[in-house]
This record gives sequence, structure tokens and C-alpha cells, in this order.
Amino acid sequence: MVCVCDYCHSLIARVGAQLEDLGHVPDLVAIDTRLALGDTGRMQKLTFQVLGRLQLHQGAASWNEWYVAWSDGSFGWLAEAAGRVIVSRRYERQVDVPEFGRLQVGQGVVLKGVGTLMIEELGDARIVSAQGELPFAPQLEQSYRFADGSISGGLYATIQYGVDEQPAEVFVGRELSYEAAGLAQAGERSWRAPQTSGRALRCKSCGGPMSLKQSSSVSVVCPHCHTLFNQEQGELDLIRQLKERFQPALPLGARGELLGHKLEVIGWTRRAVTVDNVEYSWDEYLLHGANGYSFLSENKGHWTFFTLLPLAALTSVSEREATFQGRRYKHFQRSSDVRYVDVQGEFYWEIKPDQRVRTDDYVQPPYQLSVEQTPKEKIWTHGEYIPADQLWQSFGQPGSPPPQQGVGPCQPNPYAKHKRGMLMGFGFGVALFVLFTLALAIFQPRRVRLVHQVPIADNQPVSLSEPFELRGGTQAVAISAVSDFALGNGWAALDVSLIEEETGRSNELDMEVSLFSGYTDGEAWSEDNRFPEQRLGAIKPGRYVLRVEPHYDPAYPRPFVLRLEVAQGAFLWLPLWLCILALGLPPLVWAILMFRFEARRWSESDHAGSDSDDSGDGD
Amino acid sequence: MRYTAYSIMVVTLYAFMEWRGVDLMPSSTRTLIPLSVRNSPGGYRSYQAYHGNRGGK
Repeated sequence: MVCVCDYCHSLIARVGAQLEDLGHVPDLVAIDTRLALGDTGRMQKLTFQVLGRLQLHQGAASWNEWYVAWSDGSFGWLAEAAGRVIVSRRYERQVDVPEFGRLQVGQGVVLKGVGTLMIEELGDARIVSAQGELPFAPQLEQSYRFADGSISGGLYATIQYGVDEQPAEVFVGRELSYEAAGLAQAGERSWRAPQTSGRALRCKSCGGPMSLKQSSSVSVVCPHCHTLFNQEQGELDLIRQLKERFQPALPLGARGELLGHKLEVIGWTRRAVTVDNVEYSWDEYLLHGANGYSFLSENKGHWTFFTLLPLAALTSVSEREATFQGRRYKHFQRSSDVRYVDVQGEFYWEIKPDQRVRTDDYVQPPYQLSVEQTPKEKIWTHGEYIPADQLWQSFGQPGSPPPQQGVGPCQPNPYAKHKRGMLMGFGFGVALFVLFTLALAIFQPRRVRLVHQVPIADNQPVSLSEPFELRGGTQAVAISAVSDFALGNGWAALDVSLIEEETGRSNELDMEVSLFSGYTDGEAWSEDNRFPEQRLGAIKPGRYVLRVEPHYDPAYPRPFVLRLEVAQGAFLWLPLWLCILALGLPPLVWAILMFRFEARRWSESDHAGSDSDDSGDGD
Repeated sequence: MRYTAYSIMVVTLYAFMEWRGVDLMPSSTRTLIPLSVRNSPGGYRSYQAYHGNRGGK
């Protein structure tokens, strides 16, 4: 057990009954924190108290590791980094961890009894300062290697590789909010440490004033001369004079609220990738709020709000899709050699202007999964599409947001919300259609009311039927003719009138009965219309006669007889086809619009022209 | 919901048209034959009826 003296910063070790001075510990680094020595927390039935802390630095960022004592007598660690709190304990079981050099980002390491640790970051860190009580004497400025990753179920783990052949140690923890960790005191402090808020610096290049919004920011760009610096404890290390300078659509310092989080824009980058000699660029904003860091991406006027995601939170990941929280995200695009075009503001990671990264995007509108990968790190983020007008209003920006072009990768399909309504309406309509058609067949079947023989003879220019009754309500009537033309080829044209006796209203129509057949070039053929039928709509009930005036082939042997039938309850095809058309047209138009929207979305992807089914955000 | 209401309206209209036999594209023409014509020779009475009722013995 060692302790750092609050007054003289000496590192004191207890050796038996004696105290031994192990040397001087540097001043604490200004790192944003909501914790302090003596803070207490509670997890399930156990409470813990913060006894001390180590401050670590890995070249890209600094963070606090708080040493805590649990009420059951055990000890553990509480890490703060980028607004995340991870409470962890040493994994006591024997673990055969691979050598550090054999580990790769994305690789799985099985921890018996816990799960598979998915490696997300490989790096080396050093202890830069310490405070309070600690379980060991920190070896200041000595580097050690670590592998960070996540385990399904919201667990995190770190494999810490010892120096000088010491065995690796594994720490397993869980990410929690300050409130969930029972750190009641944490909420009473400002997120920004008072001594670091708005920290003033002076540019080493132009001498202009600079101010840090976050003292833990690692990279910062001078707003005057556009020079990139690395920052550590207020010391600026000049990295490069940046060349191209653009104007962010959303200015640095803009404050707004997205999805319930109050945020401030503290950094902006323009990134680009070149494909087939064509440069594609987009903007990324770094936001900071009470829950730490988050991101905003703007591409062709489409905005997506991203938060960090542990790799183990993903159920599955493949080249084609990824699964997160039961939702399947389809692979959209891979961009290799993504580079920085412009950088402004400050960042909690080290901006390396020459660094190239690979990104993959998966979409399930309005959500998106993105992964950015370097050989040493794999960072997953989960995003949600934000309508531009809403974002602009939320951040209190004047005028209009940048105009939109095309369809955003995770832009919700505006037609998808009608999916349920369309399916329900169509299903209901078809069911009702079948029901009504069956009811018509049952309650208004076809009933023959007259069978009339029409003699075709030279002395019979007109044939009149006996009067007959059409009963029931107003219905369609079918008049059909039959002839077998038993004596060979022939035809007859009929002028038919259905006349209501009482009123004299006459419905007149033409029919033709014919039969032609023969042999041509040794092949038999036939053309006939032996059973013609005509329908008369809306015939009222009453007493009718049928008047038939036949015209016929004068060469055909006569006399012969045609038979005519008059039937009520005839089915009309036109209303049926119109009904089917009217029912099907809205879903058809909707489907075309929806698929056109999806086609426009996927035309920008790596999978243009492939099947992209629906957008999945239907209600 | 609007499409469901629209579907109900369409199918109800279809059922009404089938029930009442509304023909939207009639192939027949409708005329009115005055009573005088109907009862006169050459009216709609049949040739036999006309000859059978010409009177005289």
C-alpha cells in the first residue's frame, strides 16, 4: 500500500511499521472529472469509496483511473474517459491471453466464465501522476501495453501486459452512468473542472489567443493561423500548419439539444476519400455534453447524430450486415484511405493529418452503424438521422441548413410509414371484395327468365317472344344466343330489342352468331362465335318481350333455328376490373415511390443495383 | 387509415354496381317505342301476330 502526500506530493510506502519515501510525484494533470477522493458509490448491495487515482496518458488522450475500496473488503478501479465511467475489478481466474504482438483489433479472446472479449484498441500507456492511496507504487513514465475491448452484456475488459516479464492482468468492468454507479456527489460538481474551464493558451505560431473548452483535449487548432497543435497540460506542441481552410456549416461553439442531450460543438473536421479520381467529402462535428462526447456527421445536407458503441454490443458483424439490439443493419459503404481535409476546434484524440483510416457503414433507417478502423483501433458508433430543419432550429442557427442532395444513407423513407396502412387497407379491401362477390353469387344468382326459339326463314323477318317477367330489383340482364350450324358454315346477325311492355322502353343491341371452318394447305382451321352473349345494365323489373330481327347468309340452307336466352343476375366484368384497379392502384403507386426512394439511396452505396428490400422503418 | 376507408368505399361501390347491374359502358342503345307504334302493324308485333290480327274472315 502506498500513499501520495497531499501537501508535498511525496510517494510514501508503508514497510512494516516504517514509512518509506519513494520519491516525488508530479502535479496532477488537468483532466475533466466529476469525481474526487472520498466520493462513495453503490452497486447492487455493495458500496465503494474512492481512495486514490492514477492519471494515465497514451499519447492520444489522458484519463483518470480511480482506485476504489469495496465494502466487502475487495478493491477495484473506476475509469473515466471521454465521459464514460467503467467500474472494474481484477479477473482472478487464470487466463491464457495471447502475446500482445499476436493480438489484432477485432479479435476475440475467451475469458472463461465471463465471455469473449472483443479487442477494440491496442496501445501503450504511461502513468503520469497519482493521488491518494494506491495498491502499488506507480512506476511513473514507464510504459505498459494494454488491449481494451468489450464483452457482450455491457461488460468491458482490459488486458494489461506487465513490464519485465510480469504476467498479464485482466480487469473486467461494466460501463455505467455516474448516477447508476451511485456516485451521488458526482452530480453536484460541474462536468468541467473549475480550474480548466475556458483555459487560455497562446498560439506558438502566430501568438494569437486560444482557449480550450476541454482541458483534456489532445489536439487543438489555432482559430487565427490554422495551425494544428497537440496539447498536454497547457503546453502546445506544434504539429503542422494546415493548408485548406473551409467554413463549417455549424459554427464552433454552437449549442443545441439533440435527442435529449444538451451539446456544444467543439470540433469540426472535413474528411474525404478519393475513388476513381473523384473526391467525396463530408463533415464531422465533435460535440460535448454532460454525457461526454458525441458526433454529428453531415453529408450532402443529411445529418446523423452518433454516439460511441462498444463492439460487444453488436450481436453479429459480417461483410454484408451487422446486428445490434435485434435490428439488422445492411452494409452500405466501405471507404478506404479516409483522410482529413480540414480540422478546426479541439479534439480528445490525437489528430494525425497523414493518417488514413477505413470506415464501414451499415444502415437500418433511421439508424446507422459506423466503424472506423486503424491497425490499432476499431471504433464503433451508432447514429440516428436528424432532419436538417430540426437540427438547425435546435442549434439556433439563422437561415436555412445546407441544401440536401440525393437520399441520405440512413434517411427514413418517407413512404415507409404508410406500409402498415397500405397492407391493412389492401387486405381489408380484398377481404371485403371476396365477401361481397360471394354474397352476390348467393343472393343474386343468374336466373334464366326466357328461352326463345328464333326461326331463320325467308318468311320470318321478325321474331317476337311471348311476354315474360323480370322479377326482383333492378339488375343486369344477359342475352345469349346458341346455334350449332349443323348444316355447315354460316352466320346470322341479330338485331335484338328487349322491350318493356308497359312503358315501351326498348334496349337494343346487335349480336352475331357464326361458324366457319375448313382446310387450308392441309391444315384444319375454324373461327366461330356460336355462343355470343351481351349484357344489358340496370334493367328494371317488369313485363318484357324480346324482339329479334335476324339477318343471315342468303346462301345458307334454311330454315333453321337459333335459341336465345334471357337471364337476370348477369355478372358485369367492368365494375370488377375497375374495383381491382382502384384497390390496387394506391399500393402500386406507393410501392413504386418507396422502391424508387430506396433505389436512390442504394445508388450511392457499394451495392448499387442489388436487392435492397424495404427500408425497415415502417410503422 | 385513409386507404382503408378508401378501400371500403371502392368495394362498396363495386358491390352496389354489381347488385344493381350498373353498366358503365353499355353496348346497347335505349329508345322509347310509343304505344301507337307498338300497337300498329310493323311495330314490335310479330309478323304472325300482325297477319293473325288483320281482321276479316
